[in-house]
Amino acid sequence: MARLCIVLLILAFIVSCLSAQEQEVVRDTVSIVEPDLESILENATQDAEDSELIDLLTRLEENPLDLNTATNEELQQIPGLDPITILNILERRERDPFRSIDDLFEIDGITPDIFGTVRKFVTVGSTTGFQSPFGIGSLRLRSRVQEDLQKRRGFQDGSFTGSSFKIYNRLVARSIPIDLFEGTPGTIVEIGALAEKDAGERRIGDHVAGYVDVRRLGPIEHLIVGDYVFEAASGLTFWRSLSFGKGSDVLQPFRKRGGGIKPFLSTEENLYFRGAAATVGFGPASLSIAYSQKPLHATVTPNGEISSLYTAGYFRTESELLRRNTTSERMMGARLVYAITKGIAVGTTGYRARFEHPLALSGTFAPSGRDVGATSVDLIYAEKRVSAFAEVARDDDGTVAGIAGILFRPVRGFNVVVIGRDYPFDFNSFHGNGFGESDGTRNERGVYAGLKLRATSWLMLSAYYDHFRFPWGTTLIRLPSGGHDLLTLAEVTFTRKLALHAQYKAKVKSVTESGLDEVQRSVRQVGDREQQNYRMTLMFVPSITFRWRTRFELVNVRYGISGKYEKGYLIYQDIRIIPIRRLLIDSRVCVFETDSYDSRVYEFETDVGGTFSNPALYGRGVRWYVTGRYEVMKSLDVWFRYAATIREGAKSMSSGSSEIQGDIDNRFTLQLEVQI
Amino acid sequence: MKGSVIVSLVVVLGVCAVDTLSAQHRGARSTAMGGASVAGSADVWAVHSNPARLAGISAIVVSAFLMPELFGLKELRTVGIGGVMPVGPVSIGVNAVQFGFELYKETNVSASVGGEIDWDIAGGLTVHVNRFSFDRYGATTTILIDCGLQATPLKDLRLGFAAKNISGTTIGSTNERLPRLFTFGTAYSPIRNFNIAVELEKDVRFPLSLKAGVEQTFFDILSLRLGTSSQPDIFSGGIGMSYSMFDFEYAGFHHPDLGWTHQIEVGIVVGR
Repeated sequence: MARLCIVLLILAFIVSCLSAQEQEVVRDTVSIVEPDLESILENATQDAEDSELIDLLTRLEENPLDLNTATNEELQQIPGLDPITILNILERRERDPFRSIDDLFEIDGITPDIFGTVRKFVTVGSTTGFQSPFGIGSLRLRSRVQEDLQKRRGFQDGSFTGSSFKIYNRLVARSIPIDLFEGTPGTIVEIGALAEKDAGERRIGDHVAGYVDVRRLGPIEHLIVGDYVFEAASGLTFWRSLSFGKGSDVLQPFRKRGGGIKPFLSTEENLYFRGAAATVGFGPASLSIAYSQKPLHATVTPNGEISSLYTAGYFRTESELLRRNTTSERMMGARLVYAITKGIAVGTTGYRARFEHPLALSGTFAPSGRDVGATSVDLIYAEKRVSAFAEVARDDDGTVAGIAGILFRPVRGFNVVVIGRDYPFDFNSFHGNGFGESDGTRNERGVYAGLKLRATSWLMLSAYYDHFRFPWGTTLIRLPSGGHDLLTLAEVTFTRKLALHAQYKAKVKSVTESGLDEVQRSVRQVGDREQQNYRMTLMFVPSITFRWRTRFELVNVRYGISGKYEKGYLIYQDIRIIPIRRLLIDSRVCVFETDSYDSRVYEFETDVGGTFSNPALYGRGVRWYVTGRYEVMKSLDVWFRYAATIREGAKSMSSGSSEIQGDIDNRFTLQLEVQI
Repeated sequence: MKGSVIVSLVVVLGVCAVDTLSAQHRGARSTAMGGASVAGSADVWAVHSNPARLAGISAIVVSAFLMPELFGLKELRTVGIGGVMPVGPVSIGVNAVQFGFELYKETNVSASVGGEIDWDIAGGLTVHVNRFSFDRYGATTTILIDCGLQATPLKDLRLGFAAKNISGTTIGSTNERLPRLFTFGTAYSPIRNFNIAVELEKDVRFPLSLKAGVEQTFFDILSLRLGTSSQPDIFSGGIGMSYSMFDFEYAGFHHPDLGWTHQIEVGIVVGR
């Protein structure tokens, strides 16, 4: 397979040499300010297909929002837009409607890099991402097959019960706007279905999801029957698992705002609801109500208690299958939002959930019993220079948690954000996920401060500092602990085609270490783990058909008590090229060397459409991939990808049932996308 | 006796290690600048360092070098000859290099193509045919593929990347892989006739190597060069003269334990 890819590379090179003089680009171009998903997703250290966040971005891309009609809450979903910028957009369109998305450049808060991110998700004059030539609707099918080329132990010893293919099928059919109510935008009916099977699982539809979504049915903004997610305010009551957290876009945590109910069509197999939900608008107010009855994967003890929830999403072995659909949850929730003015809105959210079996999860203050629930009130405020938000939530036991933030833009190009959070150790928000250092929205107190400054036309400076404390012991550390996190980033644009990003990140966090006491006895102690990452990325975009990126990243890890020191680095060369009309190729070669897994380095990768990868690299080796997209015809794209990690000389890779004999872990992916 | 010791050395170190060592010093200019040549200007030996550099060739060039003794060992002699020429939108290059002596010999014949693939971007590919001969033990032939890229984002700044043995070729029927090298480098000319080159080279099996060199040219005739590299730690220097259609180069490098090695090169440029 590696040789086949080399042949493909050679062919691509020869073809590119022959056709370098007359390039014609059909759909994609490469740009120095193209949407930088890495800044949004770099902390999502998991594989692509399992992320529902990518589903959100895919949905936004497939359904670009009309700048002239989108609501404030809808615009809050777009990465890169903050409440002040949204207010500026709303005011601008009242005065003078947008004629093209390029008009965004006139908006205070839209810089070239933000425009690069936003432009994929907005449109002017159309509310649907794809239009049918037949006039009845449109259909988008994505079908993917993925195969590990090395046999994992689970297949050799027979513990995996299914085939080694990973198969994914996703279908979205949407009607054109139908005029049912005079004077309102037309009603849209959308149907989505997904069937997915992981490697080793038995059934093609091991995980299925689907929905019928009716939009703009008179006062009903959304009516979803089937699978959906619910995101509200800052996420203290309702949020999906991943969120826009800390990253090189330092304003991102401020932008974390829930968009209400949304259809669910992701491969994440746990954090969604199944039932019916609707959002009804009454002038400045909107009410969302949701009902769900959904099976859950969990370990249920013989005495009928849920001892742990199974969230990995793999059902390959007999023991994994034993945890499948073993219990269920019934949930009712609602959210009411009232927009007092264009810039001020208040909301309240609440839910009650009942489990088939009582919860008996590990952890001193973990939720217990059959019933869980939470309620919250929230506020968002925006004016020309300042925006603020706050959310206060209360769980079933009366424990109160809160988060509040302020964004200040004293002059154009200068943003300061401060966010404070306080999640008590006994706060239980089963369906929430507020901004913070750790998951779970509990046992954390912290202050986040970030600033972003466009110092000159060629220099952008960003920095954040986050100080956090865990006032109660955690599962790993039985004592109060804490830490802090610092990031600084300088983005230098030398010319329109050449830019350099230099980033420094330092994190200090408590860990438990083995040490010796005064009488030389071995004891476990709480000490600090310090990690520093130095990253430099050089980007060169000579034309719309080529992008060059070189990155060097160095990581140091030091332990306070033992003095253990580890280091690692990564260097990659990345190119994106459109060698011939209709073909786009993304390729990267990455060499890495780290002392162990503890000093691992991550590199965000372009994957086939709708997915991303962020693999952890450790040990000594090389990783490379080629991802290509060929537009066979206007309605059919074919994606292919070959990726390999080689740890020269290693006897085996991975562990447990996933172990591979040898020093290479490689994978081939083929994806078809049909748009009719 | 000495020959047997060297053959034993080759066996102990492995062919891969010796191959890496000898492949570092192809072309006197590169040798003098610590081996930092992945982003350098075009020359005959781009075939070995980065075939994308061939894109800058505008004349027919033929060159030959001799490194009579590697670290004072006559048996570890390297001799090479090569030529490059522009052909339509691309340039092609051919090299032949021989290393070793009658008991252990390594012969390398390489062919490259390089050309512009986009504005200010060049790419290239090299195919090597390597023959390893062990006296009385037989011989084996392998085929390797290298590829490279070079970018010129500013008039005075070049970036280079090369991946060697992307085919993952092994020696004969063994599992021993020939070295896989990845080189990332830059060349910058802050003032006219003064060049700085820095690069990082990673053999997947060994620690990262840093290479750096500087070159000052006087009156477009005389060039003085200095360089250094790590893994192994080497200091180097050299001198080059261009006269009419002829180029004369000398380079020497010093290893703290193994001593000096010298290299000379003569080139002819047709249509400079």
